[in-house]
Amino acid sequence: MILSNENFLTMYSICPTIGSLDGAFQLAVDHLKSTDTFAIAQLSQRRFLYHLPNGDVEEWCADPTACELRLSTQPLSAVRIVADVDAFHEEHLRNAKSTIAKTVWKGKNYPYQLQPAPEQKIQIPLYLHLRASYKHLKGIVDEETSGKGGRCDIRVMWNSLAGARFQPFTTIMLELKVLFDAQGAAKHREWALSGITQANDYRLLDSEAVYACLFDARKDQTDQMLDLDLIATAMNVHLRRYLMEPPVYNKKPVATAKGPKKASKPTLNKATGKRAMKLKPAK
Amino acid sequence: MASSAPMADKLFSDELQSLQGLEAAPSGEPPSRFVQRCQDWFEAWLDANKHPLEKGEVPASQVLMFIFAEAPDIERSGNASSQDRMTKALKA
Repeated sequence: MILSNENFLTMYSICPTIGSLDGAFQLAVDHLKSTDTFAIAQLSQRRFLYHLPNGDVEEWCADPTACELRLSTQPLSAVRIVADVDAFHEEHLRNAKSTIAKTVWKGKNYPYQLQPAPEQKIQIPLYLHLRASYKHLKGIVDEETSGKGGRCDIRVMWNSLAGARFQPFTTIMLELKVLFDAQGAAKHREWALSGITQANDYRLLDSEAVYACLFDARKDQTDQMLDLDLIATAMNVHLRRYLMEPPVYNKKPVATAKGPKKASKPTLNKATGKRAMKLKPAK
Repeated sequence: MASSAPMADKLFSDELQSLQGLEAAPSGEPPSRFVQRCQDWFEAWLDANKHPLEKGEVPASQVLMFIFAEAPDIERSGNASSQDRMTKALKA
């Protein structure tokens, strides 16, 4: 077990042996807090588990966020990477019970509510997923993702093959936007549009393509604002829509989870919500 | 005073060469940078242990855990942080 700063310049081995993954989980539950950041490498399985601040440690241990270090050396392209983003959405975000989706939604007692800075909750896992998938993929994520217009993007780059259109690197840009009810219906279109214009603004000379990725967590997802496609096409931005199914909410107050009936009223205190969640059987 | 000598408008080839090996540091907030470092370390470990892995010499139960601390020196000594309590608990 290693205690380290962010750039690994100062590291201490604080425990010579952990017997197993369960042992590591037990130590995490016993001694770490939800605000702690830690990672576990399951060496022979090439599996990398990570915990970022603001996730209950016990719940995390029951269903940890993880990625497999596939480190493919296949040639990279915008199409291939976006297919990977699609797969990431399908596996980790579409269903509210998926590992990453659980960190984005507030939970079944808070209908249609998301955690603060939802874009960031998707950005880091998506980026980690991409860099675990490809050996030669590099990239940049923003340090300041909240405020200032809510810019939240991932710039991905790789060394171009000989003869490729862009040299020496090829890049793609993914601008992430989450649509959710608390923004107010009037803002959805504006928010989605800002994703398209930002994706276009951050296009580089060596950008093979730029993408505006809309993660739709609205209660009513019927209006997909199809006119945005035309705007995006005119700017040569690829618009991707990713639906997020909300958790199944408690309609009636029950003994274990006293959730509000329908409207998103913050009548529950945090502790109650947490206790209700812990009563769920672990996966 | 500042030199009035004009700046070279082109990089010499050896300067360009020296840039080849450079890579940007991990980006994002500190927790994100830390997790990326851990991932990089894991990747390097997989490269370095290719043969033992192929031969199945790495036990399936073997795990390595990294815990992030802004200041590991302080976390490790004296301060009653969670990590510190863990260290003590393990030594006991």
